[in-house]
Amino acid sequence: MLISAGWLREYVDVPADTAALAERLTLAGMEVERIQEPFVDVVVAEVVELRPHPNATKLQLARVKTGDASIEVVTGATNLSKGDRVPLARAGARLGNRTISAEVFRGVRSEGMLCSAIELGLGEDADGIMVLDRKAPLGADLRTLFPIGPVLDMEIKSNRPDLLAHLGIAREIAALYGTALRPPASRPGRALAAGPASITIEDAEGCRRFVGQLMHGVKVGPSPSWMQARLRAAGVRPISNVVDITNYVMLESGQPMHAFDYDRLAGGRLVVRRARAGERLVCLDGKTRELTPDYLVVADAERAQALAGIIGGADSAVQAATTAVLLEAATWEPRRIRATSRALGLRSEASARFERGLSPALSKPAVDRAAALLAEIASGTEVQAVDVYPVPLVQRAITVRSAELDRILGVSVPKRQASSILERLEFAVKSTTDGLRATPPAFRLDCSIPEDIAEEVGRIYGYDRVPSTLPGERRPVIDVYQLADADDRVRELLAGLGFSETVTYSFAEAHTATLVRLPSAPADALTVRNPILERRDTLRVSLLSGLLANLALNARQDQPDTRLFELATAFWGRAGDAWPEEPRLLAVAAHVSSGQPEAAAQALRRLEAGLRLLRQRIGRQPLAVRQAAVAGFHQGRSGEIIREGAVIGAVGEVHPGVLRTLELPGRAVVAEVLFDPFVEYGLAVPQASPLARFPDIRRDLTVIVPRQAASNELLQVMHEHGGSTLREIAMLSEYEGPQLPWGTRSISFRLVYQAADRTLTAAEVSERHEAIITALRRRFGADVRA
Amino acid sequence: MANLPEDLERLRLAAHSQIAAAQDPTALEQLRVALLGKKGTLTATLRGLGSLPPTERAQAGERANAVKKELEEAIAARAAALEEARRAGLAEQEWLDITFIPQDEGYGHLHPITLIMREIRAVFSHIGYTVAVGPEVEDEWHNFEALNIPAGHPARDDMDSFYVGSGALLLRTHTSPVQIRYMEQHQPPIRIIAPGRVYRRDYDATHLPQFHQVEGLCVDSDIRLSDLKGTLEYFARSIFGAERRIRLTGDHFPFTEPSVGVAVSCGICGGAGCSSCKRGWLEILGAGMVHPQVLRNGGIDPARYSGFAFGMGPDRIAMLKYNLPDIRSIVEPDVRFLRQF
Ligand SMILES: [Zn+2]
Repeated sequence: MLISAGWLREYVDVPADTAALAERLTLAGMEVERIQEPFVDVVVAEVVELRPHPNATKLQLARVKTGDASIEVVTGATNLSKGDRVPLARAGARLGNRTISAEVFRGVRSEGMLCSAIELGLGEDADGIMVLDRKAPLGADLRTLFPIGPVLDMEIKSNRPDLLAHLGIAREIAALYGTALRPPASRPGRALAAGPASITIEDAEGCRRFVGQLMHGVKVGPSPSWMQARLRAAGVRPISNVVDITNYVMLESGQPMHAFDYDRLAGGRLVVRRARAGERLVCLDGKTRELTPDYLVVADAERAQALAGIIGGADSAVQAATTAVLLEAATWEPRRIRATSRALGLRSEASARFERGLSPALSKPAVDRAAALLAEIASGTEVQAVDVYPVPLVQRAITVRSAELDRILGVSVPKRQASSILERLEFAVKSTTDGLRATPPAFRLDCSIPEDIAEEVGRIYGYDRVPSTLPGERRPVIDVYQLADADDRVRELLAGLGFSETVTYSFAEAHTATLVRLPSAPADALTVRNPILERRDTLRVSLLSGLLANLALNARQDQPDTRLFELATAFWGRAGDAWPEEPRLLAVAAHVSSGQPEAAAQALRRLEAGLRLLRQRIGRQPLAVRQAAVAGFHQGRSGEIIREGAVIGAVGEVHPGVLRTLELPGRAVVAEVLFDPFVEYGLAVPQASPLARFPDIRRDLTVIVPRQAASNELLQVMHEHGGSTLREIAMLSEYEGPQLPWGTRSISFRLVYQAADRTLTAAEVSERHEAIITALRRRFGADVRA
Repeated sequence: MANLPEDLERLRLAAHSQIAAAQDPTALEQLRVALLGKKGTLTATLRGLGSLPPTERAQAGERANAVKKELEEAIAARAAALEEARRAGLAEQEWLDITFIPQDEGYGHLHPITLIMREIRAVFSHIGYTVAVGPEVEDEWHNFEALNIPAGHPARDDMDSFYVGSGALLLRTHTSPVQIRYMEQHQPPIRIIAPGRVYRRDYDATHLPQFHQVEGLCVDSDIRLSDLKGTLEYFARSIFGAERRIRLTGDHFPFTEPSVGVAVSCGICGGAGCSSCKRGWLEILGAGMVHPQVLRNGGIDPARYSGFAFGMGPDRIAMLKYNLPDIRSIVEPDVRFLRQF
């Protein structure tokens, strides 16, 4: 909302320090985003001589005087005559953000510039210099002729439509500074009940009040320059005196208005009703809109003439020849206005106000004010006033105890001061024994509970005067500190292992969303009915496709072999479930740009070792990995991560088809786990056990097995036959190559034997070891080299 | 018959010159073994003592032991000298370019959002707040209605939501529903923060459809606006620096009354005003006293308890604190960006 400080001065004394004013208004909840002075140091000058530019046919030289002294300026305008009074911006003057300086045009120095109306923000005419009234005093600052600035660009909160008006802001300034408010003089319209016009509200739920005023003898023409200047300062284009008055009253009081050409209304009457199916309206913006019964219209006896509260119709718009004008100020149901405005994608100054909920009390004074201005400026006479207001507004008094006020704000505002603040905001205040009773002014609908009163007092009193305290008193212990959060530790470890954390979108493209996922994830992704990111119209079931897409993006940015992880929510919706499951997933992905199978194998081994380390560092035992062909994965290089018999994760190399779809060259290895079961819902508390007192005995074992024998099956056999003294088996290395028979692989293990109660003898270890070797030979046909 | 004393003397002289000639500890050790070892020459000579007449034996034995001791000392002295020489030459022989530090590509990096969330959590945990979470897919009651945002309310315009599946569920537009969910399960005293992802149908230079929020809620008997101010001042100065100030301005949210906007003084211009701030202030969060109806909706009696709530955007706080170039860098997957953290 653009607020002209010059305009405000009509209603209140405005502090000279605009920056300080802006600060004060901002603190009180009316944020001033920018302060703009349309023109500074522009003065009235007279053209004393005009002559052609020696070097340019399209330019001329104008000698202008502002008093005794005269200067020469270069101008391209052709509308000047000797004796014209014009706005002169000398070097140093400012137009908006632009500072004027002396410049040389085609070899002639110009000491300033003559301004067009558009440059001053006072009109649209860009071609010619703005010619001022001949009586404008020479040398006078243009701001005294057009006292509109500075202009404050304000952001008004949605609950205060009464502040989308100069009078509303003036009232707040009066309250903040304790000065008097001077509302515009207004007389009640002559309520000639009998008259030709009739107004009917058929849809009472959509229209709370409809005030009309019929004016005769109106002479349509341009509005006076002061009014035009104020409208322009507020960002509204002047059109004609009648339309300008309706806009002026809106910008003054906050009540949107409309003016009908009464003679064009069929039957001379207005009806507020729902639009008929298929009904059309040619609107003021020239567009024809198809209406539906959801929309509310103001119609004459035959057809819609305005889209209620949003835009007027072209047919009944005031034109040059109009003499009878029916002024409208109505109060519309905000939700209906909002719904229609959204449905049509049409927002106007009027709809923006109505959809915030205007008080019906605003409409009558607005019509009266507009009628007075029409009489003054456009020689109209009031013929008939109509006010359809079935259920008048009743403002309820709010009782608030002083102690309550102090409690909410945390500062004690003296009762007298609180009353005074409220009264300056036009609340009716009565003192009670322990507080006060305040009735909100009729133009405000946003106050109903004591907290609202506290807010009014607090923001005018100043939140800067509220002390800073911390809550606290003697209280029972209810929470204890719990070392539950494994997130941070896992993140740090992954970073230490060379993986960088990313944040990716929860939105996924339907065709990639389920390409690679946990075996327990649903096969279909939940859809987003109204997506905004192109093609991302589902919610992800796995973080992996997002990570892989990021790897691809990095590869394209010449950052191959990137390693990433993400810890975030996925969305698992299943048919028949009202609510989707939101598992937290940890996904880890590493790019292997060489595409070499050995390199990918190595990366995968490192990834698995990393997962094992994560478990160890949160105080948990390693999880079993089961060789399995997981969908979306390389079918020979994937497995499931098992905890207590349930699959909680998958690890492996990504299927080449998936990589192609995601446009990732080379190979990639990934893992994804259900985070909560993976960390078992928090960090474990480590438990120490006594150190072994007796030495261990280590024996290495190399087993040559068929290529596709999985190590964990070998381990299982070793554990079965190793007895209680086999404490640990470490996987040392593997080998596959020409030194081995085709289709076989060798794996080396180191077995550690140890007893808690004695030193083991070599003989008893050998016995166990032999048992293991025998079992391996039997089960796998393995060639074992101890 | 050998002349033992003469042999001994010859051996002694020869040994001395050999010891002096030994150039490294290995050679010296070999020499020691050759002279004094079990099969060494001196040991053999000593063994020959037995063949001497008893009268000579004692004297010769004494002499032989003296020579042995002398040679042992000579070897030790030579060893010490060699060791000293070796140490003196170490700097030269084993010189290493200590300024050559190979690029370590092994270390990964945490996301700035993780860093800022961690910091926010730590700051609030110091004053007794615990972390609460809620679902990202929400219903309209928790996301809107319980927060005084009925259908048709203009605030729904500002929080245009994504609808999910075929029902009435949506992606939460703020973390405020966690307030309601927590109150439904707990009675005061309540002190929680609720960090998480939120979603709005906005996508332009300054908005992403997915961003983060941290909600805070404190409900207890006798909670005041001054408590809100003090809490947020503690927070802002902890995060941005003790020299910063905060400012409360009037604001409007449907679920708080009174409502305030909270700004922190600009760290670049110190409050004088610059291109990064609004006249010296940076808006960082919205807050207010919990609306009595919202307390009621959460099952808490507003006659007994009052509270404050606040909501902040960690993305913006991270941008301010880490000088991130723009909001889009939050979902920036380029590792060159991530490597800065
Ligand atoms: Zn600044």
